[in-house]
Amino acid sequence: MGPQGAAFEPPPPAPPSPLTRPQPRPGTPWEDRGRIGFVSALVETTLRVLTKPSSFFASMPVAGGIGGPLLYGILVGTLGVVVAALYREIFQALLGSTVAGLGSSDELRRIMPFLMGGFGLVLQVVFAPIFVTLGLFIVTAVVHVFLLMLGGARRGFEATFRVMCYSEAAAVLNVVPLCGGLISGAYFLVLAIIGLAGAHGIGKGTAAAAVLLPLVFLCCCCAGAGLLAFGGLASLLSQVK
Amino acid sequence: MSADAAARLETGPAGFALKAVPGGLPLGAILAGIAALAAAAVALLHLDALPFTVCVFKFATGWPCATCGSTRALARLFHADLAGAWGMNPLAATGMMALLPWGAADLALLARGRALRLELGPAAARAARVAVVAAVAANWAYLVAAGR
Repeated sequence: MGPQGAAFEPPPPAPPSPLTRPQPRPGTPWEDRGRIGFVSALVETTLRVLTKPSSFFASMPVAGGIGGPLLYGILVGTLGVVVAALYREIFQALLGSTVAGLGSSDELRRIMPFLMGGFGLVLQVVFAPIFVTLGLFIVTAVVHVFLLMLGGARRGFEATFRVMCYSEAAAVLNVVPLCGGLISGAYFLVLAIIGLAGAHGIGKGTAAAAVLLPLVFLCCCCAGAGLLAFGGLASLLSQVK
Repeated sequence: MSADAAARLETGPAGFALKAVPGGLPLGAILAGIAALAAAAVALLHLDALPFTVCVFKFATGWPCATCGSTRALARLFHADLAGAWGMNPLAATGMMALLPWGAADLALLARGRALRLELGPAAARAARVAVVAAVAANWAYLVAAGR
């Protein structure tokens, strides 16, 4: 599969210990990419997240730096954005723009080039890594503050961030025509819930509340400004147990 | 020693401590950078003056969501209109303004490989949690009353 062709085999879990200290987690294929190869690690990580999320997130380290998980999130998330943008262009060409139904005004005319046409497509593709990066930080901040409010943030901000980065694996489902975006979005939520439960050692109900409540109450629409503010609160309180 | 007592020693008698943690994530700087980018985007593209609502919650219920007014607050902050920003969404405006000193502190510490972190003892953490929930609820009530 990869340049070196070696398959990732997580080490066997440590035997149960009477100590209360948390056991070290074996790691993910992506964080072992130096040994098993970049492409192998990318493919294997994506497959494991998509098909065996519980075991993946149980083995995911909750510390050790955000660079690796962020790189994974950017790569897979960008792929999803690019595929979705291409599909949108194709359907727009076939069916016409839905943006036109929003009416006409100076403001709309100003932003129209950013939403439609080849220029919009190029912008989306070029800026996709930046949007994915910003999105990961903002979404993590929002979810983490809800975890704090629900008493579920047993590990730090980094644990939540890592879960969100690896949950980006759902973005590959954008390759499904027509309903790929919907499936991808829904599965991202499922992965995030499973991941948060595993990373923070909390119940899936608490994890689900932390992921779903922002969708209902914050709407996740207001340009990220409010979300940043909530993110600030999350980070300031990042040591709350 | 109990966990509570150990936490009190770590955080001091007030129940909280600001620490420059070696190797910590400079989250304040990251979020402040994102806020600056967002402010520039909102101001340059006039995203605070869209002729339609982008809030699904408001569209569906007629009530503002807890972050409605944040984009307009961000635009006002970009133009240094602090009162206007606070009127649009007090909690969002306060949070975004808090990012400035936090981000600056993180940037100052970055050269030494450290990041600012607030550590709370158990009692302070409980109080902070209650305060955050109360602030979000009060902010939302204000948004509904003000018709944001």
